[in-house]
Amino acid sequence: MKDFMNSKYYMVLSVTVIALVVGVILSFVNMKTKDRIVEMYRQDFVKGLDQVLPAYANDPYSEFITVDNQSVYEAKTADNKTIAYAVQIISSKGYNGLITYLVGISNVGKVEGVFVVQHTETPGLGAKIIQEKFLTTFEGIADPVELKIKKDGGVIDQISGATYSSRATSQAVAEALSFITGNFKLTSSSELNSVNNGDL
Amino acid sequence: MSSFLMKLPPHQHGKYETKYTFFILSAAMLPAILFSIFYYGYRMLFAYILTMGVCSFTEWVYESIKYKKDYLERFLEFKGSVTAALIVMTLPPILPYYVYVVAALIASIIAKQLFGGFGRNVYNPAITGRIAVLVGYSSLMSTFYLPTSNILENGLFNITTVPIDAISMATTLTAAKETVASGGTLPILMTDTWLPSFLGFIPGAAGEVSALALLIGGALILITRIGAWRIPFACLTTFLVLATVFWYFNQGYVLDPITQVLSGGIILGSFFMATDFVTSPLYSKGKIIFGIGCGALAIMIRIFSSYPEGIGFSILLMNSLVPLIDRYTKPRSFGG
Amino acid sequence: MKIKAFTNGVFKDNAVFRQFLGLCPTLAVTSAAINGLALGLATTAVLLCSNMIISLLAKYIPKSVRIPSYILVIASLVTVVDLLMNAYVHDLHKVLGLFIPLIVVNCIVLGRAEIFASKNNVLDSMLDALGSGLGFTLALLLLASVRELFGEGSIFGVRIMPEAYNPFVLFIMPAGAFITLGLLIGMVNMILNLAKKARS
Repeated sequence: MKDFMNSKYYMVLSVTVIALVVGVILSFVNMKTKDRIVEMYRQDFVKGLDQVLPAYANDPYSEFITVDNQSVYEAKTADNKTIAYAVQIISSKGYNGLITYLVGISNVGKVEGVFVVQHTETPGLGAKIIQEKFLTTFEGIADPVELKIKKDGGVIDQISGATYSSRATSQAVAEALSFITGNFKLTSSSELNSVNNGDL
Repeated sequence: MSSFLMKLPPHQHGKYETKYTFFILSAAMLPAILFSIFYYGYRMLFAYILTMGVCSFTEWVYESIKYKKDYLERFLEFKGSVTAALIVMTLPPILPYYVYVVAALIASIIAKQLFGGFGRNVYNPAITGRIAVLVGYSSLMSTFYLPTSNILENGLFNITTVPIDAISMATTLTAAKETVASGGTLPILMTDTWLPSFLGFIPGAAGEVSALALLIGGALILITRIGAWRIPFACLTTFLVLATVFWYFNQGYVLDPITQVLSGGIILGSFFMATDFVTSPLYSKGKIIFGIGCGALAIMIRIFSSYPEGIGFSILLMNSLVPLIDRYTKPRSFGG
Repeated sequence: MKIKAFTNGVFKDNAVFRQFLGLCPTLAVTSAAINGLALGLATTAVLLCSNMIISLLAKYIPKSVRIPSYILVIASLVTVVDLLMNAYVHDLHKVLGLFIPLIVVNCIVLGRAEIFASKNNVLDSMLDALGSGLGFTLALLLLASVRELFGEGSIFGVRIMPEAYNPFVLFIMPAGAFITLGLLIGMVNMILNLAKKARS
């Protein structure tokens, strides 16, 4: 026995046995947690969709459509009428790495909501772009010219000391807006107004 | 058995001793300090006194704990007051007072005393303190003011609030960066900014605005020969040459060299901070290399980075190369 | 049972302050107290299991292949922790995600396995793991609390500093990690020296 334990066969055998055992344990844990992890990522995304879309009756996450290699998530009412679209925009214009946004555009071409999915901006400065106070300033804007920070001639109040991050956010929202207006037939707001006037 | 006697730096072989150097240096800084008080009001005077007090007091406390003797002599040295003045001069004029205190504490404790005290610090304390608050309080650091009246017109002791007669305004360098970033182009020669920039009637850091006042002080330093002329000369020459090259090939996107050299802290940095004999090379050849490095890095940071001004970073980066420069530029001794 | 195995790890041989081990996660994750605590606890969990398993297996593992075997055990433990955290504390995992796999190469875990667990019985090894893990967690928590306190004005997200305090963002930036760690190491050494002087 002592001889065997010093042989090279035992060396191979012991590492093999350990590898086998941990392999089995890992596959077991992976099997048990896999579904939950997928579900957690789904919930994360749906949380973002909830932020940028109005109340919807369908399941935008699984019913997404693909336009120009870009996934578009549609919010629909119970009678299957699309009321808003959400797209994911990845911007490289931030101060520090990529920023992923989820932008919701309503069917009249107005910004419905903006959500920062992921960013690596400077804490305390650029990281303030995730604050609601900043993101809500985009809501309701329909004119891409207005979707710029005030310094560049738009209406967005930039975060002081974080011009780059603020500018990146405005550009991403403008990009989402032009993508949706360019690819989908939207009800223009003037048309909607005339309908409303008729009702009155 | 014999023991070697090690003499600690500064190994200054000038005509004057350290105390005299200190006196000349303070006198040279005076025009720029007086201009900042005249231009931004008595609030600046209070900022200078506060920062000098914090620097001197912390260094005195630290050294008292460390050496446990000569309390009174150490106190009367007012160590760190030059550092303190430079901190205030390189920061925007109207800041909450705690920013000065934080910068002073970082300069005197972390940059100076923890490295072994005066004479042994690797990095220029004033710039270290300034960069720390620049990075740490960057939203405050981007607000500059252009006073519309001066101390002669409203000479009240206005030390607590922002003077009313001032408008918040971006510096020439920041404004130029913004213009280019948002897709605009710059005038090829900004001739109308040259005179105000030279005299100092522009928004900017408190002691950096007036090129004239700084040059008067710089001339005093050069005449009395306390600071090596090689560093500012090499630094400014390199800066101007590179600024001209970059400007020539990117007209409309880079400020013209005259505006470049008159705005920001390049003059203050090259005359008063790069020449600090504790953190600059010992030998002539090394001083020229050091100056060239400071100037080249400064203009490159200005043009290629997201920061509008680069002299502070460039001097700190070159500071860390000083031991290496000294090692390779050491003159050969006779018979060696 | 050696109680010293426990206390040494916490104070005298503290991984961060005395041995300078595991500095990469120490500097990188400690921008908020919760991150420091979570990474400390995750490391402790891995350390405890790895010390336990390795002290049991040490006799059967040939000397020449002990390092690969230990790494196999540690790596699979870390993967298990990673999967479990992703599934059950998903929000925390989003922040620490990058650093959990790095526990594999954290010198503390392999160091304790090699220095202690392979030469001692199970109970002592577990005590040693708890001590080292606790020491590491405390160090991370201390560093992260100081950084969060000055850099954000809060600890564990609870505002501590008065409203008027303007957070000094340098502390939660990488440079602040180095400065704070240096100052804390200096202070810990000073306290330990004083304690030594008082005893003698």
